[in-house]
Amino acid sequence: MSERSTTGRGHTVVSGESDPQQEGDSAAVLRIRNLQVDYRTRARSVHAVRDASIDVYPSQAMAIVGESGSGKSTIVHAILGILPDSTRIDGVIEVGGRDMIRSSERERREIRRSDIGFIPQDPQSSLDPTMRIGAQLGQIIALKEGLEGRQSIHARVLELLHEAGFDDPELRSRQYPHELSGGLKQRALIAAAMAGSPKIIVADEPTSALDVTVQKVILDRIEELVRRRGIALLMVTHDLAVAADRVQRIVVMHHGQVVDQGDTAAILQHSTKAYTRELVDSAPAFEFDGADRREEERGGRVSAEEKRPPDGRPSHTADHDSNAVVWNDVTKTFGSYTASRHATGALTALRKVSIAAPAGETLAIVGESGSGKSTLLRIALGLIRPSSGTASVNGIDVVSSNRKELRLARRGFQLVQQNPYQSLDGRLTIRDVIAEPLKAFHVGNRSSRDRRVRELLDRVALPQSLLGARASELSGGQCQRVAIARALAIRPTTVFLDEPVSALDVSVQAQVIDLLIELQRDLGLSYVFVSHDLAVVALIAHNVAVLQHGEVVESGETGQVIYNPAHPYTQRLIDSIPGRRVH
Amino acid sequence: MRKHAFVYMVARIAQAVLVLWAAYTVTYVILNLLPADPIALILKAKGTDVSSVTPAQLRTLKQSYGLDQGAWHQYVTMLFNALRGDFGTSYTYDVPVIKLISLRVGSTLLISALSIVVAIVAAFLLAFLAAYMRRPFLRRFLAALPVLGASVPSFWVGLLLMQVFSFGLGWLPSMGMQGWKSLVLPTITMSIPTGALLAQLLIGGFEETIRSQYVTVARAYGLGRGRILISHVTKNASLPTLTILGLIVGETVTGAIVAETVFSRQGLGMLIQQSVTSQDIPVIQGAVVLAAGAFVLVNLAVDVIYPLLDPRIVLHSKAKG
Repeated sequence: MSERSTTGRGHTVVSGESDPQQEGDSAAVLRIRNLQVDYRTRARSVHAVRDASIDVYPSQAMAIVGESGSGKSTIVHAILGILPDSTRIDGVIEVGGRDMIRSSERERREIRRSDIGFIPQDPQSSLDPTMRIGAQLGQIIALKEGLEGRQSIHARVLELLHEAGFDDPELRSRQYPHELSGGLKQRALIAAAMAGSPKIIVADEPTSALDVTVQKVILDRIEELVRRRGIALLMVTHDLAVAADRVQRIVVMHHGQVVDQGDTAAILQHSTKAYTRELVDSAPAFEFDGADRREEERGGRVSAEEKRPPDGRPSHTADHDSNAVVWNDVTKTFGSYTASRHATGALTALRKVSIAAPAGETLAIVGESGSGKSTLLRIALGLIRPSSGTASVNGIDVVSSNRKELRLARRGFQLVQQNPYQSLDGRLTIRDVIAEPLKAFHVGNRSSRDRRVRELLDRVALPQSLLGARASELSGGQCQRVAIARALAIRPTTVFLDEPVSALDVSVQAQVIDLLIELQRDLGLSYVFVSHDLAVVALIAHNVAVLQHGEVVESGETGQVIYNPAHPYTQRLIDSIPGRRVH
Repeated sequence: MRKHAFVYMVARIAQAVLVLWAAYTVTYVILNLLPADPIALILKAKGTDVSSVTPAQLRTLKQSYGLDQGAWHQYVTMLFNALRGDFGTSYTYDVPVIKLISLRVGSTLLISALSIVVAIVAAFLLAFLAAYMRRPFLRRFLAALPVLGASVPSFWVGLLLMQVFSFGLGWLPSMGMQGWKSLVLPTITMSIPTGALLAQLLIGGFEETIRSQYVTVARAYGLGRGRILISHVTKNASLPTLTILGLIVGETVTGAIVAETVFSRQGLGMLIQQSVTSQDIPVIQGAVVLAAGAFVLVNLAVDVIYPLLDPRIVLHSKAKG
């Protein structure tokens, strides 16, 4: 890893020695001084950005890192001059020496066309769904490069698509956005950002909506194009690890303020700012290589490790009692009636999957979108039936059980979902949300339920004062704690966790993971932890199963799989984890 | 693909036939539940009273109009005749229904088509302007217009227009069907409710599309406001309104009845209104089938056109066996 970081980023060292601040303000491609942005609503105004000053110099790569609500996206919109009309903006933003705040809309548009390339956050919704890729790109090219004539525009479209990494630009230019994968859409958007001769590329969370392996490819492509053409890059991200890999300077934002700013190495290794340290410490990716050390710190974990057979593999088939969840030879195909009639197009979501989750431990199911991990989870939950094969939870066959048996079995296993805001009913109070499973299974009376709810709040480290609050008033981390408390209400022995932390900010992520580990140790819970994020998995899982295209390509003990991957796909997943160039 | 589209079309045509049959049957049942004796109506139209007719004459009359059979038998005969294009003879005019309708339908089709075009153009103009305006109060004012249009009754609008432009200014005729001038006021009267409905949907659609991510991205690329509205917003915002085109056609039939009555135009709307008042069952029956046919045809056309405009939609026949 360290080898790549020196060859790939040779000029990092140079910029580290000379403080760009001294190069003089006039040279900056982007100059932000004392920027103040307030969102005004009828009732009050929200200070989104307070007194921010940032400079980006030619061919420099910089990242703004911050959690949700830190004001980082507001800065992007301010740079582009596309904030809503109701915002109040103060200070200086100069792009290529031209004022972006006090200019007219016409002048701002001119600056956007000539100097800025923009890569948006979510490729799924950033392209016009009713317009072909080629036409959309052509429109931007005509605008930014002043080309005329369909032939020459089309030729340029193909050229840009090729540059952005498309294999078959001719075909892709004729397709509509919905015919392209997320990664390909993001490439089309990169192509659009590269049109003309921008002085700076502004990328707003360019990969947060993509799978890790795709993320790596996209970031590589942006990095390469920007470097080759000597364009400055300003990337906004919540992921410190991504920033660490890709940029020379990092700006850390918190509650609308720039709290820290400096060269990447300095920020990561010896920042004096408390918030920066907190961010660095909580990023799972940085702990990745040190995970072994961390396991030793957590006493309970090692003992679990020692109980295993010497080959490191838990004895799946030996006796049924030791496994909380077992999938045996599970195959699931999806096909619409028309597809099955033609016998083609039937989609195999899972192919002969056999894995087991040992009781009292954590099995992580890792895979990218479309790998079948959600299907596997839904089969175990008894929500869908497999095409063939069996699945059992806590020794109860969930495939052949009837509705009544399944309902009874569900006392023993619960689910925590990915998006805490959507999985909690916003109209109910927290008290009612947590008590819901107790009522559903007719456990206890009103006062005993209330006692249990208070006890559970304590368990998940939430204050009792939240009892009367509603989910909409809580932060993401608090919501997820409530969801965990609800799942634990009827004392299940097995808990399914579907990407439980991927919607949370990194610092919150770490807290929730710690809570889950603590609960497992205290209550002896079995976890099935579905995730796309190997760095998170390394922190919590005892065993890992890697899924690709509906098949288990590798499974075993966490240490074994992650530090000694046997399958090339696992290796690729590990290589894609950001933050690895730092070590 | 081709095969799917074929299966889809067959299924949709079968559906259309079913709807037509249902419309015919429901009207038949309702009309026959009315407490009226057709023979009395027919005779009244000819200026005689039932009481002055001998039983023998009555029998002959019933026979000639096919009214001597049982209700079920009558229904079947009428349905079969209708399939051959024969909707019977009008009680009041003593003319075949088909002939009566075909004489009247022309002028109604003209003002209906005109009013739909006016409604669509006005609605788009309003939505476009409301989206283009940067001053919030102007935008809100324009967005409020369709609500006003949808809430005023169209007969009142017709009378108001007549009062101002015919009797007050004397620019346009208040009645009759002579020349293009006679088309103006009925067309405006008819286009207001449909235009208002369409504009409400379009303004909402424009607002929603403008808030969408790809419009923000287009702005970030440096596209101008008008350019974004034309090339990205208009198409995406107007696609959903296509689906209510069928509804608008239905609305137009109602509109024609009002407008033709107010402006005394001898069109289909007037004919329907008169037939209902005089309980001229065969004419009503024919008009209902015609309106249902137009409705079904427009909806079918919309469904076929939609996938051509929105690449994300693919024709699929519903699961039926």
